[in-house]
Amino acid sequence: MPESTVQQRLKHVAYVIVAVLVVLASRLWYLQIMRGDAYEALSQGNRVRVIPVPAPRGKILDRNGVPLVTSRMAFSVSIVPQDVPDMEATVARLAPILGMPPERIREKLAAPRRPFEPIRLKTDVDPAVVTTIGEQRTDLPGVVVEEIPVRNYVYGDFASHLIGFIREIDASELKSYKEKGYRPGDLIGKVGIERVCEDYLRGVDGGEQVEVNSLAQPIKVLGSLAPVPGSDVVLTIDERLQAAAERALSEQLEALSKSPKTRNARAGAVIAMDPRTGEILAMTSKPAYDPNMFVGEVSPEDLKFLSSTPSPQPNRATSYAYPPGSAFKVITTLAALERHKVTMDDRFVCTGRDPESGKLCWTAERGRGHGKQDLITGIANSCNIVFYELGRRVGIDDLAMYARMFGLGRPTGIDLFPGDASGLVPDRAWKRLNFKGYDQRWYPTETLDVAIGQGALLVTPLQLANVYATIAAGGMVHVPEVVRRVVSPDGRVMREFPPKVAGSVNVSRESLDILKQGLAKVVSEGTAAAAFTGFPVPTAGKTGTAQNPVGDSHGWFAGFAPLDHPEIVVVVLVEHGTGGSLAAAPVARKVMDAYFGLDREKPETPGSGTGAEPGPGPAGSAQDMPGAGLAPSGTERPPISR
Amino acid sequence: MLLDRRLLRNLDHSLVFGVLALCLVGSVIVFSATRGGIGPGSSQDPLYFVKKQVAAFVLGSLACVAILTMDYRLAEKAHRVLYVGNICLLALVLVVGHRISGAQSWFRLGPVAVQPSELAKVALILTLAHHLAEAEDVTTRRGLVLAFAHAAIPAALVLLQNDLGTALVFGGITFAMLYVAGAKAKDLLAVLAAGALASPVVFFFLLKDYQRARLLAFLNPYADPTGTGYNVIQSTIAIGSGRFFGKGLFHGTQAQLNFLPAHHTDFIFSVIGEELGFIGAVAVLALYGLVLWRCVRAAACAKDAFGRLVATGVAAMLLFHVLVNVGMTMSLMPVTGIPLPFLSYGGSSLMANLIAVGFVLDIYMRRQKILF
Repeated sequence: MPESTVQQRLKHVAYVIVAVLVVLASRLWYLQIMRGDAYEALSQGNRVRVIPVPAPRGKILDRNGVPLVTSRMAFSVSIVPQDVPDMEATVARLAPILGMPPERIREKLAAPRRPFEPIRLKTDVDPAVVTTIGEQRTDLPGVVVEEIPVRNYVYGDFASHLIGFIREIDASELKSYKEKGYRPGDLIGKVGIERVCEDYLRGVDGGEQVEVNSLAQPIKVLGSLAPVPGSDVVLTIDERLQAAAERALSEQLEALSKSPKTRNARAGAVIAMDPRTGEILAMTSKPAYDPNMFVGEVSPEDLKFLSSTPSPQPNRATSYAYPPGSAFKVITTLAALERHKVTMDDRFVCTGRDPESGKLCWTAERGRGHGKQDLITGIANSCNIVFYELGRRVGIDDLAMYARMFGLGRPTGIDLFPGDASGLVPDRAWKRLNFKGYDQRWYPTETLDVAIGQGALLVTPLQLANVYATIAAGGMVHVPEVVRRVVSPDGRVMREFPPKVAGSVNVSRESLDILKQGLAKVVSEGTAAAAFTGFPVPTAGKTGTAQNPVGDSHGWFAGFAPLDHPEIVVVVLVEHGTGGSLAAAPVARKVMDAYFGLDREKPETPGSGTGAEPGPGPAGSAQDMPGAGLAPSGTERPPISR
Repeated sequence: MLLDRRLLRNLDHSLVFGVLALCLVGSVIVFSATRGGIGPGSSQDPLYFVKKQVAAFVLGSLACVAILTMDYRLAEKAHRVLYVGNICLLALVLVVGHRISGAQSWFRLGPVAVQPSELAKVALILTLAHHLAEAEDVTTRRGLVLAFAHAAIPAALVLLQNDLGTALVFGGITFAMLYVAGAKAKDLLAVLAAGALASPVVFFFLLKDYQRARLLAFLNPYADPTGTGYNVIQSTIAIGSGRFFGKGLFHGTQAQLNFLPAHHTDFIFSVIGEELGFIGAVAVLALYGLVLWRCVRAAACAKDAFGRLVATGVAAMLLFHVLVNVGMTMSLMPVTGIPLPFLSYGGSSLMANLIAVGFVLDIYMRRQKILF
């Protein structure tokens, strides 16, 4: 081959070399100069993760600052799907560690998330689980353990219906809460105070910007945004009174359900309220659940309990309406007095049977009547014959009107979730709207039924408490409240909730005085006398035995004390308790005892000799009170603040 | 005097400079890529890899100098030993070799692993150059077939090691040398065309699954971004994010945080692109340009056909490595796992390349036909 051809061919080789280098350099130009910023963004995204730092939720405190709900730190296990090279293997490895079925994990992973956002698989895991995951860290890429605040319901099933609980936000809530910045996996108040005060309690999540390596293990923190803790909510509830109500009702239900006559008494509710402000001091509903069960996964046993009967889920103090029975007679009395259908000089004779309608008094089964009575004695005896007569005189129209004036037949307006039930005040219009043909007629006997709190009449324990509070407060109707104020984490009062007046009932002082006289006699020598034996504070009250078509009668007690300047209204309902005197009044007595500081076996007298014994008033010794040491000189418990 | 002063005057200083510069850059980048350990959990001496690389460089340089003391034509005389020895070593590694990431290409000798296929490339260049210089006319079909057969035996052995990349390098070397040896262009094109036609057969029947996956990943790396496409995507991100000036030495997040796999070996160019930017990457390419140009120049001035073909073969080998390796890091070429000459961590490769450069230097130094 000629030398020139060889040189020619070497030149071609040189051309190829130049071409190759030019192609490579062009590609560099394209990647680094033309697309450089895009790739830089990608490399940033690769190595920078934002790890959300959840804000601690605000505390829920009782009116004296006793914490009822706090937050504690718990371990949660999450997964960043983008960092998991083999999801199946990771799920298979993780499922037994977490004790979760693999399908459940996959279900959680299927929820839509933003890229690189950890998906929380299990909250409040054992430290042992955290250790195991730590040991297998290299085999579990993309699995992260975070320490997050979770709810701690200090007293367990204590006022749980009122306080409520939080759980993971669901799809429909997510839609309506999106503009508030909620993301999938966030916790949100579902029931009770946790729900209605969600905006105060929630706080603002922070975030931590961390640099991670290719296994998504954090290398260093680039920046962090501290979370803003949620505000504390101060309730109107008094922890001590609430505890007394919980205990009194539980003990009563336990005792009743053991006796064959009252074996169906397994549910009930207690409300204590300040009639001067409408503040709820205690509210309990039994059976109750422990909201701590909703932290993390709800166990199968807990789920079974939640669906047992009687159901622990509803708040019987607000959500269920019952016939009020004789506890309603206060409204019949006031209607008759106000409409001048009765005077103190009127006398009624009870033979056990109403001569006009043939309806019976509750004494009939004993084969006798109450005899001759005036209005006051009629109230004290809870004599049906007297109230049939009053009902007849007043008529259903005025009876229904007074019932509505006292707030029956519609929600009280309390800010709770679920909201309270309306109950039902039957009258002619109601029959016309809800029945057909002959059934639309209002029969005279129906008026008599309403007059003694039976028939179609339905009230919630809260409504009844509000009726008695209105009577105690001289006609002022309040909107019952459960929240006193909201306090920011730095102690600033964010919002006060002053008493809310819903209106006032136009009843004369004289009528109220007569009624109170009757109610006082109920407690001193009438149907509630046995339960209130030896109770030093003058008290007004009324028992009720509400017949209902589905089982044993419900027992009611509603009352207030002290008689002249009422500070507390107590309503007790015992489902299927058979009688108010037997089932409900003793519970109310215990709650009143606690309020007036009389629940000590023997009240400790302060040794310092500062003076007076705690008189009949909202004071008492409290050596077991949290913060009792703060009380001035001695062991005296600070009075329930107002 | 081992080395004549007059000969030393003819030493190609540009080529020496280019190679030394590349080796220096290589050591620095290997240090950058490995100082934090490679992969999580490795807490070694930050200089562990650099030390081994420098040791290989010293050994390779000594070999290089040894070659310079001798006339390169001695290698031609030893062609038979070289060819048979080469094939024996390649065969032996198949039997007693050590397997690293899928390829059975290493001999374990105490603490070091030696890869005979790297030296086999140089051996092939020498024996093929002899074959072509002495053989019958490669413009005839018979000559062409014999030449291909000469290369095919070691190439087949390398293929059996599952080292497709190196086998392809053998092909590239053979084509370039045949071209310069005077084979008809249309014959070579015909062979290429035949290869292209046969490629589907190779793809579907001869390649291993992972090799097929790599080729498919090259066509669309985002088909499996966390699997086979991962390397290419991370490498492209690394280079692209380097932009004009780079993130600075030791500051490449892709490499330093281990997003980039094999960043001290096959993907070292990505680290250069990320940390030294367009400027640094183009400078490295320019150094390769210088080295390749000097190789071609050595071929052009060689005093005999053997020298010319050896220099051509070395140029072809280096070019092929640069094209395939750098192309791979920028998603221009499929991932085949062949190292970047003088830069990638790997002693066998570095020593083989230094030996190859030694021959080119020797050829250039002894270019004058009339001696004194």
